[in-house]
Amino acid sequence: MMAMSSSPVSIVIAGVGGQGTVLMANVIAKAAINAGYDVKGMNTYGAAQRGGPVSSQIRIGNNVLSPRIGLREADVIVALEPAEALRASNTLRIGGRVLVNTEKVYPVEVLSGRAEYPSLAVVLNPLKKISGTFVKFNATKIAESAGSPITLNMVMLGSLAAFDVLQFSNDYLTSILEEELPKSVIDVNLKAFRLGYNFVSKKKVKCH
Amino acid sequence: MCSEVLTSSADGTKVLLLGNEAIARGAIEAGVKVATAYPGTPSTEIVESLSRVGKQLDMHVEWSVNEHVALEVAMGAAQCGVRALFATKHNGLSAAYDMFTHLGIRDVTGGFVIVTADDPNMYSSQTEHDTRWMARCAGIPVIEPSDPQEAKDFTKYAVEISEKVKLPIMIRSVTRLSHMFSGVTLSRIRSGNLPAHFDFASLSLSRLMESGELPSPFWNSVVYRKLHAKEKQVESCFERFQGNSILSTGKEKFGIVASGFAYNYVAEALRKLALREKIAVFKVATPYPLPRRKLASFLRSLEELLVVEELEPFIELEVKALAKDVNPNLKIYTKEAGCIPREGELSVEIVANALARIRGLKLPYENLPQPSIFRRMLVMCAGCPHRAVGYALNQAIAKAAGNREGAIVEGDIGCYILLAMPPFLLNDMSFCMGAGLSVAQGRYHSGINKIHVALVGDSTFLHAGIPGLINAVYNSAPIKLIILDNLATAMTGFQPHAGTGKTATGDPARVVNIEEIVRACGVNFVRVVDPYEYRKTLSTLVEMLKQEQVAVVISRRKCAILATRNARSEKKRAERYHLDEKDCVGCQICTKKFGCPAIGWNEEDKKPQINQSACTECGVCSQICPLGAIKK
Repeated sequence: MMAMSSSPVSIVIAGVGGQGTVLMANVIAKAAINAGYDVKGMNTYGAAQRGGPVSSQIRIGNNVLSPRIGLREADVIVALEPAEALRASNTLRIGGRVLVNTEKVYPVEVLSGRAEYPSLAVVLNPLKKISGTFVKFNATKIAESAGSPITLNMVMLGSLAAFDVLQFSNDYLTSILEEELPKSVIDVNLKAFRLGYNFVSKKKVKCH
Repeated sequence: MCSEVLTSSADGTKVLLLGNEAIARGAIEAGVKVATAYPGTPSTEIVESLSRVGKQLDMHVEWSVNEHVALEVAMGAAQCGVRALFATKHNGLSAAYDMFTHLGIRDVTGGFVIVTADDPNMYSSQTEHDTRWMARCAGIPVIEPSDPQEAKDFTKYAVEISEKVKLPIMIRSVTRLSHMFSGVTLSRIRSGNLPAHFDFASLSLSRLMESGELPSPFWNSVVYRKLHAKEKQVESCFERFQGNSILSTGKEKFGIVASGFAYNYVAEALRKLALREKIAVFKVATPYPLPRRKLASFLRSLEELLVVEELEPFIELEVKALAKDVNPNLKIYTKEAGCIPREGELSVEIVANALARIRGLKLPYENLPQPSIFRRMLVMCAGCPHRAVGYALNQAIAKAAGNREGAIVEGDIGCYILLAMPPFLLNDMSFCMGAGLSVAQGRYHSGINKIHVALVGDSTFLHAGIPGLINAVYNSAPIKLIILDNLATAMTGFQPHAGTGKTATGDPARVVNIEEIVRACGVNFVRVVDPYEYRKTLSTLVEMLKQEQVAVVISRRKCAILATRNARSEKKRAERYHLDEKDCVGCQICTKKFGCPAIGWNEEDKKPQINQSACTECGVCSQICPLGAIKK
């Protein structure tokens, strides 16, 4: 676990509407409270509509001043979509960590030919340059192999759990999932969590 | 969030709550028994949370038909010794404002808290006006929490003070607070209902006249003298309120006054600039009335002052007036001088930049430009009935008016505001709820010889459209109104309304029939169409646009998200649509003009591609395809 005492861990979760970023943030925040930490965070979503960017910011520590993560303050960016990783990139501190799903979600502007989706390299290079640890992978494929593409958020949550950032053990996360998810979907979500966890731990991401 | 947390009796437990949920919990702890609202981002979750636990707590929770009604219902209860809550976004307070200005000059006997959620930066609003002015104008005290814990505790406190002073109290939230989450330590839920009681002797207009306390039914300014005395009483309570506190004394003669959510930005900015030990901060929780005695002693200790608050210089102006009396030499860095912006949302960087500028410090970070990437505009969902009727309306205008500018289309603020975006570019204007159909009448009377079209949603029509429609009939303005009825208040999260047959707490209700209302308003041309039947919708719209009288088309089809949810729960899935490539010539009408997110474009084949998991089988694309290439 990251050596830290007083300064909080700042996490940015970026995605698009419908990907489950808010639920993911909620699970992390509840787990942190159960583990005895102070948590402040916020979700950014305009009107309750689909297709727009949705991001969550979470700070976990012993004494968290405010929920908003400013420029170059995030310890980690978890992006469920590559372009959203770029959109959130200013928040990452130099040497911070990045976890990014490479599966693109095309906005209507791109689908209808009014805008172009740049190549993955163009989208991800700015973050790669400033990050200390950078992991990109197709988490949507892993979610599909777990049983459903909508468990993408659980794959990302599992991979974050293996990323040596959170101050508490995975049990806190999985027990929130067990408490809060409907019984019928718990297994597939836990499977997705485990697959995400295993994927990143196999990469042996080292702590700085 | 699960309902058990909201009703938990576990005193002292820490749970995760959104700001809005924390306000709801505060109301529960305070013993609120009547809660009303009309849905509106960012305030919706307050009453939505209460609606889930209302029955269990013996609390009446309702989605009222509009904010004006919601406020009146809650005030009616608060005058009967029952604790009440009314929650709204800032725009809704405007809708309720006539009633709002009456609250202060009447007594409440049960504690009454009004919650407004302002929207600096207009994330989901058409204006960003500061409701603190509105409260002040009506003599309603304002409390501003800075985080969910305070949101809960201050809501409870507001109910207590309200009951003590017999005056409603307003809690002002902002988007960031309403949508922020943090750990909140719960307190005891107040038990025991006050018995509902209407006290004729102190409240009845005729009794007050009979007793000589009022000279006429028009009241008189005696009531304002009473209100101003209450203001003094509240101020003295606020002087003792722990929410108003000096948080660090600071070694230097430079101080900050910060209020509400803006306090968070100040705390972080001071940390970033390593100024926490040096600068004194007075955290204001009650912008109106300000704890002037406490504040005066703070101002006397300073030589320089910065006031940090979101939107208007509301506290700043008062502090300037106070400083004139208690420390005339105090240098105040003002919004007028541009130290802190008066528009939009603040941020840690805005506050830190201001402090660095004022104090000649170097910033410990670089101000970065926004990374360049396409915008991800909001889109109507796959299968959205608004897309279908919007597409048909564009075609109908071309047919009936010759070109797009042969009609002016007044929009409104529901999901159909997205028809203003590409590829539809349909809405020419959008003001407040219900404004479109009245604004259209003014355009007509001004002599603009075009077709005057207005769009309004089902919930919005019931909320604010009916008087405007009556006015059109009465004053002979032949507007063309399309009521986009998707059987839900969809934009804010599918809350039920009077036309849906369900109440906030899930009880069945009588369905208020929109076409009966329209006919009763005196409209002769009334048609109901299913927007998924494209050709019939188009011909009906053309017929409507050619009318020389007020004409109304109700386009009725359940919101696609709700319909898909229902279909999923009933395990029903119809056969999906696919592209027959041999019939498709790649004209791109389905992708570029219809713009359904379930239809992508395959650059290699130069053909559209139907995303099967997103398609809701509405079938409209297959009807608009000129070659019939999209098939079942």
